[in-house]
Amino acid sequence: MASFKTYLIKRIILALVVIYFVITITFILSHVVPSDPAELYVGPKATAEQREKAIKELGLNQPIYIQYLRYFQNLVNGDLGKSLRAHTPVLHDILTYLPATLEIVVLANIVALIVGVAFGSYSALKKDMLADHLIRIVSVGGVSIPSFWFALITQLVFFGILGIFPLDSRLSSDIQLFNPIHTITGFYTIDALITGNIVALVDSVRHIILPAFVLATYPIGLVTRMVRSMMVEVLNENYIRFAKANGFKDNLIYYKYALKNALTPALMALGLSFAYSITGAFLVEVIFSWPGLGTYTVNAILENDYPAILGVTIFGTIFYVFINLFLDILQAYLDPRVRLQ
Amino acid sequence: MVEPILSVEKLDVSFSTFEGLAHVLSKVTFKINHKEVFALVGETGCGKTVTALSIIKLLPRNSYVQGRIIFNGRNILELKESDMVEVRGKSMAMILQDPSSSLNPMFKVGEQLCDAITSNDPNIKEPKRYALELLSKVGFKDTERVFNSYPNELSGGMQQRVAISISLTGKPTLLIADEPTTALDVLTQAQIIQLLKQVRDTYSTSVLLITHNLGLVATLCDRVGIMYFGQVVEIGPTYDLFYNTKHPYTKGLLQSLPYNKLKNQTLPTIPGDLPSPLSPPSGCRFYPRCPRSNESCSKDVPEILPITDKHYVACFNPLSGDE
Amino acid sequence: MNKLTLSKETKITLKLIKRDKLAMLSLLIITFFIIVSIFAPFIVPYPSQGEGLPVPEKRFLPPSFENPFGTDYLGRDVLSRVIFGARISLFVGIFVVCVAIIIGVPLGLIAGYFGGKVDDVLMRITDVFLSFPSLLFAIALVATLGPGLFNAMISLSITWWPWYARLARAQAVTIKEQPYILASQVIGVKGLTIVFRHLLPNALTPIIVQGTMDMSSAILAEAGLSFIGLGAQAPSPEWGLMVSTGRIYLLNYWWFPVFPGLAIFLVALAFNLFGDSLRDVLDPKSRKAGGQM
Repeated sequence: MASFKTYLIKRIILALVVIYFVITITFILSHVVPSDPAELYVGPKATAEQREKAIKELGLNQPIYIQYLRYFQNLVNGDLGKSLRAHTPVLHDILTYLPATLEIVVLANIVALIVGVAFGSYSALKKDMLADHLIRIVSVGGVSIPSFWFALITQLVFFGILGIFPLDSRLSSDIQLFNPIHTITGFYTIDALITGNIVALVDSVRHIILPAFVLATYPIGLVTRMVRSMMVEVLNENYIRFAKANGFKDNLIYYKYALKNALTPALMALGLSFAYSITGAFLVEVIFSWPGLGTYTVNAILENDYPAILGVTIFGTIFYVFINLFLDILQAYLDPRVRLQ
Repeated sequence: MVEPILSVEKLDVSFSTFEGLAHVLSKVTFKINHKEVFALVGETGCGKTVTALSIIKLLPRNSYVQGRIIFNGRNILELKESDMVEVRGKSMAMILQDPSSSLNPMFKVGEQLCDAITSNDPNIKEPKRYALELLSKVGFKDTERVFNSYPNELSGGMQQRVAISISLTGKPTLLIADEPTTALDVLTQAQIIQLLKQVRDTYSTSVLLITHNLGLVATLCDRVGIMYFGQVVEIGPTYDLFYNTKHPYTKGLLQSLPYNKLKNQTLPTIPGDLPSPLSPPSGCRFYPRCPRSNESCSKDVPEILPITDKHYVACFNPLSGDE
Repeated sequence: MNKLTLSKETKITLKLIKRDKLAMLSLLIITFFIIVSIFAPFIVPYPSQGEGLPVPEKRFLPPSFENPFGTDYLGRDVLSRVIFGARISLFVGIFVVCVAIIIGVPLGLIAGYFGGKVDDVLMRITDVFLSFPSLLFAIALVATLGPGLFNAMISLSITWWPWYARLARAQAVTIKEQPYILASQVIGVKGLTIVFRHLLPNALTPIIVQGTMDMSSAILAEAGLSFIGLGAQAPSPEWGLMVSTGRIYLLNYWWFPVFPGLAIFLVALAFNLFGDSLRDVLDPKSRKAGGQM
């Protein structure tokens, strides 16, 4: 077990180093690169008085290393600065908008993992046959389609033409009025379910389907392609031939023996797709008026709310680094060759 | 005479590759009797493994097969994949050259063994007990520990013994062993050979041993077939083949064994290189390298014909007894 | 000898690519878009509208013979604007990928070839870069530099070069053990000369494959940045920006946002499919699967 521990420690150190670098880079971006950092923080329309205040508050008149240390200290204390528009702490804003984003991101990635593993392994089993070619076109299509455009197309088709799904937002307004969801987790679907609010549950599910589906297209393509190529490799392995030659049931060979070996790349792909989802959600949320971090950030961009943009960057990166840390450790844990060495 | 367990008749196998059709096997013919250990010997790339994979029907998709493979009275080549699943593991099993890659690294030995048992005989009530029994049969003392190990916690020899125990789950009548000792050290090799002998005796299993190791052949096998470049050139009882060699290629092979020579003698080799399977020589495939070749060798393919009732050779100019 | 095997390799590669209908189709689409964007001013029906001239009396006309893709909220011909947009997107793709390659590949090759401390430092830097969600980082960067097409392109290049550095390094590490490199070392060729004269040409294959696929990612990423207002600014006929402006008219005048987005999709799909086929064909592993067991 000693080596798994070493691996764990090494991996955690790398994660911390990455976070340290992110903070440093954002510091450079916010304090060193701009000719007038204060303006970034108060916006171009600010009065001279407001600027003075910002310079003092941010310590911009102090030597650069003091600024750096203060910046660091603030972050460690969870202070990401104040939003220009609402003058609320950015961290507080982020935590308010986060659950809505997480809800579609998590759902999209679960869908992507299931569909991607199914498509990828089926494609590998039918290598070079018609099904393989079709799945290839679908998966390459999935990583090539601009999500914001695809979101519009699904609105056009499922709302505009077929009328089976709502256009946007998280919940219909009448439901919000008459059957409001009592917030526990912040995930509307789960909250509605555990509070037994069936009307709201149905409504929130109807609202989440399109955005989650659109957000899942890219990860589906990614997971499919990685699982397929790994499965093809695994199916050529000696242990698969050995199992076949010795009468193992096909179901065991394909869905137990080969699949477990192909799960490693699926987890890797999931790490990449989470990275995509964070920014992918930005574009998708805007189209579906989904009140999550994406909508928050895009509004921040439109209004030059620099502290908010930077706060989201830092938060998103840290979130992503931890997701990857978790997936890497899980991957190592699932492989007895790593775990037991 | 009793029917042979396996009879391979005029087996032709070719592969389509990017550079054209590769003719890998040409009219391969041999048979294996009940409880017999039959060795197929030849250089790397001569088609031994392809022969084995044809018999167990696991050739890649880009292969073309002709001929007949009669196993237990049925032509394997005409069986559907769904029928073949009922043959593999039950009446025919196979172990591979590299034991470290034969076992799935992600699963415990016991789990793989139990999966083989339930696949091959769903009636067994307590697969674990049977698995432990098999493990002790292949020579493990601490069966419980092996059962709970991952493959990479075991040594190469132990892995190969586990592989053998998996191949025995369905009590096969034919065990194909593709270079089972090549990846192992000498001492472990001896153990595995001992084990294969034991398997033959306790399970009445016939063994098709594929190897390039003539020493292994001498200690283990009843009969031997020599392969050269996709053709079987000589078949006979082990003793006859070693001491009454008929085919020039077999003789070359035996002469190039290092332990036949004194220190300061140069080791004889067979001149020339292996030809390309994309354009094999017409006639006897060995003639370009053969010291005894004449005109007819390049024109016609010599058929494999009996010289005595047990000794077969495919050569127009076979060696006589005292050469 | 070397030349002979190389030409045989190339022959097989060409033969395989030709056999792949999807690859040929995607190559056709790519070529079509390149030609169209080069000759845009001469082939579009309304060049001035393509560049942004409003025609107030022709607002929101549905697709017709005169305006095959309809007109937008300022009465401009959507087809003309989409064709002008092809110039921007293709240029962005080429620019971003080339800059990333120009920065990343030499660094990667040098790190891989010389090893030691240079290698350590460089690889730690790329490790850190690769642990970021790159588009998020690009957003922060553009927000600092100020919105605009050029800043968007620069930001994407800056976040992408580490991928090429890593790829090139892996190539250099394998290739430097080859006999012809060792031979050059023995006769005293200087390190940097070896890197650029011998390593570079032999490391190009996977870089080209990656570059082809990244053309699509770059076009998508830049369209995304423009869509949220960080990239091209009005009246640019940039595709992502057009979708962004047109999206509020989706349900009434669908052609306005739909056609520019379709163009993004087609180009990205073509580059991805072509890169995918290229990789299959050039990867000796997947090639072997057809020939052996």
